[in-house]
Amino acid sequence: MSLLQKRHAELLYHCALSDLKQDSDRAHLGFLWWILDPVIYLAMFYLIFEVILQRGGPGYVHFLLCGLVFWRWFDSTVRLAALSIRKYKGIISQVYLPKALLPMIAITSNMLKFSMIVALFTCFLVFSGFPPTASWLAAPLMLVTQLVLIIGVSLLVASVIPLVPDLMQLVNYGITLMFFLSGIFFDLSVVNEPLQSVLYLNPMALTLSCWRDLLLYQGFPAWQDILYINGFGLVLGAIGMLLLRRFDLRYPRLVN
Amino acid sequence: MTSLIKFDAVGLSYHSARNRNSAERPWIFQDLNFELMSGETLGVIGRNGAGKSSLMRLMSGLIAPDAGSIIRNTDSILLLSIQLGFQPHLNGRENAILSGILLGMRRHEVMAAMQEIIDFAELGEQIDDPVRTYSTGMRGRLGFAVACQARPDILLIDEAMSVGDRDFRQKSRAYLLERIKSDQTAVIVSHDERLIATECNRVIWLADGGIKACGEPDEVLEQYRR
Repeated sequence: MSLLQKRHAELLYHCALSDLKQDSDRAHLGFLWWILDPVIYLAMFYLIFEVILQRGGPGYVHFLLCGLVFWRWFDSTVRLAALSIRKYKGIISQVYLPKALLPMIAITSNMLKFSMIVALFTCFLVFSGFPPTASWLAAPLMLVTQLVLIIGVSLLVASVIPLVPDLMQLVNYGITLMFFLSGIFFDLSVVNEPLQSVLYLNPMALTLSCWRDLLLYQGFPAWQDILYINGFGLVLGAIGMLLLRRFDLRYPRLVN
Repeated sequence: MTSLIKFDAVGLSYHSARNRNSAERPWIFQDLNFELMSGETLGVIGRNGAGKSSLMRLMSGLIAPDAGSIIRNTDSILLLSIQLGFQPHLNGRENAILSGILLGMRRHEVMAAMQEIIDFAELGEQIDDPVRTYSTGMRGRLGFAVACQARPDILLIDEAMSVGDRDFRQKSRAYLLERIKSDQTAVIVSHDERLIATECNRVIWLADGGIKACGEPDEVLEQYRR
């Protein structure tokens, strides 16, 4: 690793740490909000679907929460990454930074927050009748796979939004649409063909389905699914990196 | 003396949301040709809007020119920025590290210089308080003390660095002038003609979209005043 890259790794670490401290600095309850926020978020869906609508039947709460937890990691990171270059506009107008570093800060700080949520969710599973099984061994692979997807999408949106700010609205709508089409509330496998195959082209639908198989139904993720999600992430990430490099010296002028 | 930066027919145009895709952007300046030699102190003068700050950003490699080319024989070019990346919720120490890394230093270098930074900034134990509790003067002093630790090949100074009270302003100015007098290559943008006259080896006068004059400080300043 060259000197330049080591400095950037240090910067990544300190900026991510600063983001986390800022979150906890905003409210009286501080770090507790990292836990309270997802718990309230999940409880809200539980209340609506299980208590009020009485949907789903046995195991639906776990099905729903499993989808929401891993969806939220994707959703919150991509939204933050989309605005990352603008967030650091004051800094990039004064010193040179490789622009890919900026969405990576959002990805890193969100990953640290997410690890807390995953730990909580794991406890919830274990104590509510879903003890660890052999398929859980595939969890690290699945974490890396989803991370590759998140990095890919994040780099792409981070690179494009400063060039065409109007796309931010589309990204917001796109994420909301994905939220409803990724099978968070319903099981995609009961959808009729050919619609089902089309819906599974969405890598997040596939990701959530893999997570449920792995954590709830003792199934190992299929290799072709893992390859598809990783490939999707790598292609988007490569396009994002190309744009970030191509417009490296344009961004400070575009966002200021 | 070797050439550290060479501007060859450099042009820069206005970019804004409205003319983003237009080929008909108005030029800030065109056809700039000059070299920055190692060890010299170059002054840049001109009225507001002449493009002095844009010139500094081009030199530091933050933005790319719209015409011509810039050859840099070093990557270590720093536009001196005070309080760069300061976060109000972090304490003085954490901000010093963050700002120091942004200014091109490594974490261990900032850590090694921490006591010097605290002493120069006259902060004492308050270094461990969140920066949001600092006065404007305290923030400025810490920012300056951190920026002083950076050791770039080329130091770009935009306008007079005036932070803190009168004593600190004198101290910081004396420090900068000391740095410039050494073999530090520097470019100073300033409206302070006396500073330009006494500290610079050469002066560029930016006006009317180009270099109006370039040469000995006394000669250029005389033309500038007319």
